[in-house]
Amino acid sequence: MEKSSHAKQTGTTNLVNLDKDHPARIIEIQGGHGLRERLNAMGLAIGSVIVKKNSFYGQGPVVIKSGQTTVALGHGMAEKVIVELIGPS
Amino acid sequence: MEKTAPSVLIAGNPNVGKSLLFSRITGLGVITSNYSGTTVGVKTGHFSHKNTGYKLVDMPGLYSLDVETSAEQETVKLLDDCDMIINVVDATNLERNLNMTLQLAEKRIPMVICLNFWDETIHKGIAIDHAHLAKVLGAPVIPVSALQNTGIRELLEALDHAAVPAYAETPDNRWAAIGGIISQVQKLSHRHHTLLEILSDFTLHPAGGLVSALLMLVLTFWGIRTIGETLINQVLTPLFDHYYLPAVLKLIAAIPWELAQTLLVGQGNDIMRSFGILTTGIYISVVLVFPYFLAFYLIFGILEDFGFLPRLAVTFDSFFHRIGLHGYSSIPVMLGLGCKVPAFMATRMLATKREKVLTYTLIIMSAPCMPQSAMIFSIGMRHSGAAIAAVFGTLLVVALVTNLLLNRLMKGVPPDLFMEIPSYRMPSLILMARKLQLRIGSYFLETIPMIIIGVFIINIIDTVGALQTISQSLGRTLAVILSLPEEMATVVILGFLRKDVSIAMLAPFDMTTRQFVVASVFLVLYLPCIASFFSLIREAGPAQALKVVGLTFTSAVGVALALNWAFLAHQYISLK
Repeated sequence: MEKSSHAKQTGTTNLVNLDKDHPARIIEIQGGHGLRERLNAMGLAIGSVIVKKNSFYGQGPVVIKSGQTTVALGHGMAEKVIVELIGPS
Repeated sequence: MEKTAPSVLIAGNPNVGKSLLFSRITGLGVITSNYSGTTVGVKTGHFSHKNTGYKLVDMPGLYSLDVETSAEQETVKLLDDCDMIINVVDATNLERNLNMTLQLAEKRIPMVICLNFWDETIHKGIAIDHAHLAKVLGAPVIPVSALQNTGIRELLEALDHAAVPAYAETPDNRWAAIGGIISQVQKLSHRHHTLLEILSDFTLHPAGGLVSALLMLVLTFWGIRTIGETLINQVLTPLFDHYYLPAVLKLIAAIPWELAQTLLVGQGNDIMRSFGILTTGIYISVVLVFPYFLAFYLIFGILEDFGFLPRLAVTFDSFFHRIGLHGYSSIPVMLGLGCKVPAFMATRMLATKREKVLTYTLIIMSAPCMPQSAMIFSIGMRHSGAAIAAVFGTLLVVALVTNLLLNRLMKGVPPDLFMEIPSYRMPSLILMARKLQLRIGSYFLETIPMIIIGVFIINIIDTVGALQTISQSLGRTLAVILSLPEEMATVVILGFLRKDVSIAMLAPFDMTTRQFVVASVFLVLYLPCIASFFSLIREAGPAQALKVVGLTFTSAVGVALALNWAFLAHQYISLK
């Protein structure tokens, strides 16, 4: 899979490449219906605003916060969530 | 005929306090923790309110009613049989929780909404207009703190007014609709980070997570040893030696029947060799094993209720990926350090069969359960710290190698971790004490009788002289292949009844350090105890369970052989 485009230039990236503490809005969830459903149930739908808290080394998970919910997503899953940056970068 | 009691279902997201509410209403003791998935089975209880009897059902938490796994589908089916719903909602996370509320509303069942954690909204700067929320939803909304036991009576009163919510939304529009409701009923005020939030950020940081995990492991280990040894040496041994034993011996001496005397207090003065039910049996189960059991669940209870375990899962996720799992599996493995039965039950949260099989083997092989560990420590201390380290180190290496191999052999890829991280919560002393009490209760009711039966059987076998016969067949094999004492054959057979007994039974044999290491590793691995074997069958089905047990048995024999040869080779070289 290709590396995602550079965040600061295009304004869109995935959760793995998103910078820490930078608010972003989910604009696309790649992958199947099942993944979209699971994320949706946790409050992560198209349009949800999230902030990335951390990502772990060595293909580790990504921790994000959406509203009052803190969620950890595995690396592969985080790659499939495409976000656009909000506000000045 | 009497009318059947109306059935009330407690439904909601995971980790919103459903089980505690269930326990508060029914008065039944239930294990609760601060992470998703503590309740894996359905629990049923009864209560009466205003002279009406109700049936109360506690369901495992779900994020959505659109579910995929069969366990989740079973849970959703509970909705078909209930007359009313208590929808438990985490008031500190209203937006996410309302998704479930709206989905439940579509089922057209009368419901009451319980805004739990109401006490926490205040210091979290969350203000919810619950009266307005009730108006918008068209069903009663009651603020509750199950932890502080407030609002429960109002909740039960509201059951009389339970209503089918007038609210309906299409699935695609749900989040937008929830956003609309939230803007009407909830106001957030800015406030500073609390100490717990700063700690949460630290433990979710890659480096901070690792540091806190290691610190936690060291502290846990140190705590269990200190509490366990202090209890054994300062409290229980003196009590046993000075008060219990003399009293029992005196009492039994009054019995005129010699066989009964032998069974009850055994023969000889060595407490570990006499094999009397009231002497060796009580000594092993109460004096030697129980203190470690208590210490483990005391510390583990704090970690559970504080909310540390999910953070551990995140920290170790990439490590678990290497053995074909994701970080969630660390929770059942940690539970397995205490007892394998709840550990197997916790694997229900895993999605695929592959993950479950890998986790089962890791649970069985990576470390013994607490009663066994306690005995490995007690007996191992007579040899050396290195001997104990050799037992645990070997087990860990064998477990990891087996999982690496299985991961290669079984087709499939590890799915991704996906779990909610709960806020840290200060553990409630009362709740922890109740949980500890439940666990101690089950230890005394289930484990201790088995240890005593184990001692009894050994005593009988010894008395009638059958020990010889068994030793000759199985014992000879053990002696030749593993260089272990022939008498250990009985221990191997008994070990299947209760693993903790088996290690304890090693005490009377004068073993060399080599024999101790080989025997401990073999006894931990060769078969699960009956209780955990049946819980494995329940979780995995008989075929899968037998495969897993076959695998661990094979590795037990293989590893014990290899260890024995390694020791013999070492001896041979040093003799030269």
